[in-house]
Amino acid sequence: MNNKDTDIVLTQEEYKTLTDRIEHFETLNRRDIDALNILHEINCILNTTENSQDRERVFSSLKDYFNRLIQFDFVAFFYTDNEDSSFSLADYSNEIPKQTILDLEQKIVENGEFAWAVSQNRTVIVDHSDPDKVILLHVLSTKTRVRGMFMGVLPKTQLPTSSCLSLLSTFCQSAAHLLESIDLYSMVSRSNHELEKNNESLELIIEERTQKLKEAVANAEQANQAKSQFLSSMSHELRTPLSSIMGFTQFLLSDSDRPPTPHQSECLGHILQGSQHLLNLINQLLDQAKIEAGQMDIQIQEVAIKPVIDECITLVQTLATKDNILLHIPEDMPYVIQADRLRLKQVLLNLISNGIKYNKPNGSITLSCIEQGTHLKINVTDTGVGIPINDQDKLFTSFSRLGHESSDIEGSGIGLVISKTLIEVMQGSLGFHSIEGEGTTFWFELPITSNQLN
Amino acid sequence: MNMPITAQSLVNNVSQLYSLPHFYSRLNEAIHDPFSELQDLANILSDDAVICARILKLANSAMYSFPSKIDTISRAITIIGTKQLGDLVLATGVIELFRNVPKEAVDMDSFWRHSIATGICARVISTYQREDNVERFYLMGLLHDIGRLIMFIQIPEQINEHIQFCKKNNILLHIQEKQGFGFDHSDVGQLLLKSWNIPQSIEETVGNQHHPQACTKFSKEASVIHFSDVVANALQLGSSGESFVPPLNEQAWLSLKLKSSQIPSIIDHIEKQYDDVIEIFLS
Repeated sequence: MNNKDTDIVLTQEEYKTLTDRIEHFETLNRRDIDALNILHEINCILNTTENSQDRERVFSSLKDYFNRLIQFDFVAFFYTDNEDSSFSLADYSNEIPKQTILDLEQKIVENGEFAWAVSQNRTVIVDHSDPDKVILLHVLSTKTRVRGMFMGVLPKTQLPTSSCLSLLSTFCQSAAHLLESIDLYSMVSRSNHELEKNNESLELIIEERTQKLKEAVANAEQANQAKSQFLSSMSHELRTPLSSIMGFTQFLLSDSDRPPTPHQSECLGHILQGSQHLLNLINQLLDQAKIEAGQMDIQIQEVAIKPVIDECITLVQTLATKDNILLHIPEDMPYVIQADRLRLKQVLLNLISNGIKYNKPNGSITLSCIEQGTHLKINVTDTGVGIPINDQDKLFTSFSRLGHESSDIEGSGIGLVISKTLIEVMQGSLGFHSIEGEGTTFWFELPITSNQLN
Repeated sequence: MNMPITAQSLVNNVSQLYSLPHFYSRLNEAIHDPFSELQDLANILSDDAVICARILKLANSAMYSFPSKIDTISRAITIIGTKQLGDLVLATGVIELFRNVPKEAVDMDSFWRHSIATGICARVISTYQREDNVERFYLMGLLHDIGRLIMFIQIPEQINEHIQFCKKNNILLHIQEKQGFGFDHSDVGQLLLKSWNIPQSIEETVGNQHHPQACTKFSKEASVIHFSDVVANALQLGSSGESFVPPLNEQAWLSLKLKSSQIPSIIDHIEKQYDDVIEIFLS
């Protein structure tokens, strides 16, 4: 059987051309595969930059790669300094004296070819002083930054083909990226290191300051406790002798066997009144000490507001009559609130007696209650001198009497502070509004239980 | 009965007259042949004395500002680069191709001046962006209005009417073309370049020069050409018929990532190269 295809008969010459071409293709193929492998290796180095690469080792690998691609007589790499953009020799073929490379570099720098190659993003071929040789220059540059320069010398007859030059360009670009990533890595790790150092010193400073702050807080707490202790013990020490003064004064006043003369009675009355005032002050100091020490004992219960107000009015009536102050009390106050009865009375007394003390002659005090949702608001309005705007924010500061320190009006300057604290302890709030010259309304709110007396 | 004018019919009519010389494809083949060496390219070039002389002059011009004198064509190729050589040869070849267009149809000198200025601008910008083949950008700039040239040759009265209309009514010429013909010069240019079988990047860039964002694959190139066209019109270096400076597409400008402070130095570079290149291409 005959083969359908005609047998092709080649001449010797044709056969030779074909085998040459095949051989050539195989060489090319090997070169391209090798080039791919090299690119892969470069890529591997690129991807392992977390183990910081040192630049010398990278240049040494690059030297090997470039020589595998093109048979150079010798190669050299120049590295761009980040600071001043100058080029310095980084690595070169060891079989060549360094001076030869430096001389060559100097020549092409001086004739401008080096600078020209920097401006071109491709292989630049320039003359060598030996007419049989040429110099290949290729900048190592990313899109943003020139990282270095490659220089290779080879015989003119061995000039690479354009496809080979394209590969060289790819190598150079990869090399530039590699150098850039090394630079960036070292930059990042340097700044990381600095950051860490800064962090450490910051932590130290913070620790130091925290320690100092803790000490300061402890000192303040201790001082405060010492003050509270001093206040409570002093109050106690003061109250005991005062009790005997008052007790015996009352005994003398009421002694029917030997009744005091009218003059003695008057004197004893003054003693009793002064002692009463002193006792009030001491009680207030004791309250404040208790509050600050967190020992205030509060018993919340349902309290009908009307009887408490009535009791207070009875107690302050004498004082009001003396100053000719009129008290307006609403007839109908059918409210029951959540409070400590004793403390509520103390607050009301404080507010009403303040209203009397700081009132104008022939003035008045008006009490009113308004139901506000879950709370009952109780207003105590006087027609007094009012509180100057500038002083209003100092009102609830202990021992501040806002200019009344040397006046005739008796007071310790802590009554309001205690009232406010007491109301807050009872889940309420206390405040005021005042117009200078017209009067002041103090109000407080406490949780309401019902508006009907059982 | 008159057949309606289409971009394709315009291109078909000239394809015989203005076809790319065989020389170009021979050179291009050699450039992409893995076996060809520098000397092979030099040998091919030597076949055309005119182009050879132009390439040599270019290598010695301000376009390259190479530090020393280049006196052989093989030396010139090493300076220009092999990949780049093909684009540069095509650029010179195209101008040569249209050298015998009748003077009444179009002011060729002014036309090429605008095209060359656009090409130089594109080349300068791509140098800033460290592109490897800056000659590709020069070629794109040079060819960006080639479709208009075909229109000048084929339908001179109509296109000149449109130019006058645009001048009177403050309209951009390419918009008026689209209005009047249903296509504009960029469509004609793209089809012509396609018939020449030149690389797709060039053809698509020319086709999308007025709306760079529409070109997904080569929007960077189209943006460069769009910007360069605006600059060349603004500097009034020649004209391809457009009477106004087209507005700059903001997206295109942003995609170039240029700082406005770089524009003076870009213009400086253009001016330095312009006279040299005009001298070489148009003499």
